Amino acid sequence: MKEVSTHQKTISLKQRRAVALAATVCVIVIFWYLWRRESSRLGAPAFFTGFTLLAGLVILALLGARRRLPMLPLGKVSTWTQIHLYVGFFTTAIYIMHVPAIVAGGMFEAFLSLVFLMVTASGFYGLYASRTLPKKLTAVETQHRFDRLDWGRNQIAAMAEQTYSELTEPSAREVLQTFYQRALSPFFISRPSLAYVIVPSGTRRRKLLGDLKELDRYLESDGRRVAGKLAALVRRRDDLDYQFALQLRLRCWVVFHSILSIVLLAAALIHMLIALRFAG
Amino acid sequence: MRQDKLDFPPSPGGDRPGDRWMASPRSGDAGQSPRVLTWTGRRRRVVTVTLLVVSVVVFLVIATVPSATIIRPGELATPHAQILAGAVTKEKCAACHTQASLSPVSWFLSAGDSHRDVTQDDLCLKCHHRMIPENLALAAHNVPLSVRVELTEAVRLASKNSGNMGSGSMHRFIPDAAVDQNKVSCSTCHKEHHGADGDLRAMTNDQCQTCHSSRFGSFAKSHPDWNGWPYGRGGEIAFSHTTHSQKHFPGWKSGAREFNCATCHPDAASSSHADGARVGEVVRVASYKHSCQACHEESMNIQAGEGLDFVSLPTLSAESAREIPGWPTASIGFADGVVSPLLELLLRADPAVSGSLRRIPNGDIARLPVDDPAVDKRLARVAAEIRKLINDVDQNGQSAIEERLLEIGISTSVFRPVLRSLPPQLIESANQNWFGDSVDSIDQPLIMASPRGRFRLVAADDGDLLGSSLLNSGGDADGLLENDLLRQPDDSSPLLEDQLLEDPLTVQAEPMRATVNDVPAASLVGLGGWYRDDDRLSIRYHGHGHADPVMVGMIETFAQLNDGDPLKQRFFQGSFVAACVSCHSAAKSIPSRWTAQAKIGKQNEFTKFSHRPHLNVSALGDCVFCHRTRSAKDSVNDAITLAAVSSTNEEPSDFMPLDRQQCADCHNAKAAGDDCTTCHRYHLAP
Repeated sequence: MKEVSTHQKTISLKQRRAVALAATVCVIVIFWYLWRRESSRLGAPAFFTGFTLLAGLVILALLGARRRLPMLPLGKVSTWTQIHLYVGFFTTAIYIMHVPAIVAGGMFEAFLSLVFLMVTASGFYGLYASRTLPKKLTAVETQHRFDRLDWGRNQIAAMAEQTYSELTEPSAREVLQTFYQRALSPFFISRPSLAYVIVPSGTRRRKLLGDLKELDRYLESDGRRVAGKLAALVRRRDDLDYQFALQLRLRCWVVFHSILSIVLLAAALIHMLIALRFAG
Repeated sequence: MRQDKLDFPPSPGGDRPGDRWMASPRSGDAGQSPRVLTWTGRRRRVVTVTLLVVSVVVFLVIATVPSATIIRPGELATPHAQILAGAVTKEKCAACHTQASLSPVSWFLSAGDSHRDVTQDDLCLKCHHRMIPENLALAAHNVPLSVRVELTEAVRLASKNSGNMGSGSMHRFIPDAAVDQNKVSCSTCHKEHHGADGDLRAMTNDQCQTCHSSRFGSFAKSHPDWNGWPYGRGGEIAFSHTTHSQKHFPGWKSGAREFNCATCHPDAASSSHADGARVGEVVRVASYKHSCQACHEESMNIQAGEGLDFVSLPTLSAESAREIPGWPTASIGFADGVVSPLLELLLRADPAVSGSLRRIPNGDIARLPVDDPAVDKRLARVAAEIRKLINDVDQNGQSAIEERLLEIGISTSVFRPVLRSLPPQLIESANQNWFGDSVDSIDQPLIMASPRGRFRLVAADDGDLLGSSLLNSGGDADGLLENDLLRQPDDSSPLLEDQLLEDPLTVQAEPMRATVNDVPAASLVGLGGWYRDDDRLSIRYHGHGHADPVMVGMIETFAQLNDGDPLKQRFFQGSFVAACVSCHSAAKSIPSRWTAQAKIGKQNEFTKFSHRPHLNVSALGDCVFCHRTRSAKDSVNDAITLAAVSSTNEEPSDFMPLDRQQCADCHNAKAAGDDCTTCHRYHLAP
């Protein structure tokens, strides 16, 4: 019974997306017709699409306002996000109707075009990221708040140092000392590399764990216990770095998208004033 | 217990989502370490710094880069870009935008007096006023509303007659125009800033038709028939293609010279008549020398050889002549003669005489009733004015004629070739020969000024043509001249007393009057020119050859008269004038047009056409493919229904009308295109 309910929910989500997409396409078609109609009747199609575009940008910006006003009963953020998503599709189509060239010729208009295109591209990336990164983040065993990742990283490094110091048997200490000092200690102490942050992978993790496993045959039971604990710390640290990389990516995207959105809105308002001033 | 089961201490508290600061994670005791920025704090800092940087960059750009470079929604179209290429940056925008001459601060303020009521359309017309009438620049098609209403009705009727009103599909759903048709701004149709390749004249069919009440679908299926177009638009040269092709040049029958369209309509580029014309354009009419002279020169000269009077003395009755001092004896008798059109025109300067002239039917004095004292009085008044005219010209020359023309509102510029060719000495000699050299003031009592001795001298001269005139040859048997005062002058009559009889100057004039050439005067000017005809007591002009400047001047002078003026009609009915205007039918219009004007490039018609692209199609290289002359096989109904009606002579065109379907074979959406703007222009020049 529970499976059926889950299945129904999945279908419902797909249907909801299909309906939303169909509605968006219908609205775009309607506005396309109105745009052509305005053009055919020698009206001002550029003003029609321009003000529509500006209105779309304002609606898109309202998502940020909604997030900053959680105390007001303005509906769920998820609903606002869905609206944001489809209005984004809509404004992209209106932009294509509005501009004579994808990138305008004048300095300001070219800047405005590029900002719009960057916001649009980042929005589509955000759509992709919001569909993939959360799954990756939840696949990791432990969840961390972003601001506490450094604290967690330090805790893991401290625990690794403490674990290594627990090793009293000389032969085992001799086996692990060099590996710990050359490989494990820098791994636990240092922050992840930029390459890892950009493209997080399991290569580093597999290499360290493989090397630790190779040392097992030279260790007694106590040494193996310590090595196993160090391996657990390696996995924990790698998970943490993975969380860091993905969360940082999402957060950087949000900052990039929001900063450009502010610039875009301001530039669009200036463009509107210029267009009104120079019209006719 | 699993080896990787790790127990970490709980995370330090004290930080909340949204806080900008938190304790350093490297410290075990949060109170002893400096704070560090949270992600929220770092994000706000990044956003702030970024916006500040953007603002500074924007400020620097505005301060250093010209506004025309910053604000430019797109490149100009090539024609405008070329014109403005040399202008300084600020003037480039201000050429079309009054706002561009103002600072951005003033955008939000009043434009000021200097730009008040100056619209973008005014700036457009600053350059384009030569092509577009300024008073109608914003009216649809640059024509008044009344004209548009007429055209709309004409199109509606044409559509109805074509039976195409119901055809077409989507054109019924074209929305109504968003603009006032009496105030259509230039930018409504001409969209700038679409780049160098942008077509400023690009218009869709829907955009063209949005203002129209009668709308069409495709050209092939729905466009109304155009009936007689392109015929019937008037022409400057009267020419029958039917008779020339089928009667005068029936080459297909006899093997003689074949009628060839290119003889009169050669390629403009190879013709000397169209300098700079592009290859493929067709000359509307070739020169007279190339196309007409071979056949029409001789007949034209014969017709023109009849000549035209400048002045001719009418024959007055004795009662009338008695009132004119020095009126020639040869012009005394029954009231007769014709007041030539040119003479009547010059006499119109006097309103009283003008009224008398209007009472002479067709200028023919012989048609006036006889024995009517009022008629005699009017004739005397006319004759006196003729006498005065000759006297004026004798004394003042060309200016006397110019003044008379100006008094009746005739422009003298076109008449000057006539004046230049007319020697004042001819008038002077006529004055002396006809009226004697005692030119007394005609304001004196006429009867007192009559030189009695003149008539005796003329009548006694054997060599004079008057010797065989009615006055002499009639003899005593002519009852009409019995007791005629002229034949039997009564010296005792106080009316004929003349103190000048004994004047030695009068006596010296006798040899001149006795010298009369036996050769007809007209034969002396075989190559054309002015001459004095003492037989008819007239000064005449004989034309010769094509484009005689004197005839051109006379015709253009009379063309200025109202079409309803009987004098104008009489002048153009003269055979001598008809020699010119029978072919140059438009010479009678104001202003006179002598040469056929090329229709291509003219801006006063909705429909435009160029032969150039069509003649590249091999089948269309044969003119007859489109322009088929009407033959006997074509029914009259076809000719009347289909054919054009010439605007000048209202006779059916000698061409069969063009078939729309014939054009539509190529002009469809898949081939040569069927856009409205392919064949129609929007702006109509006056």
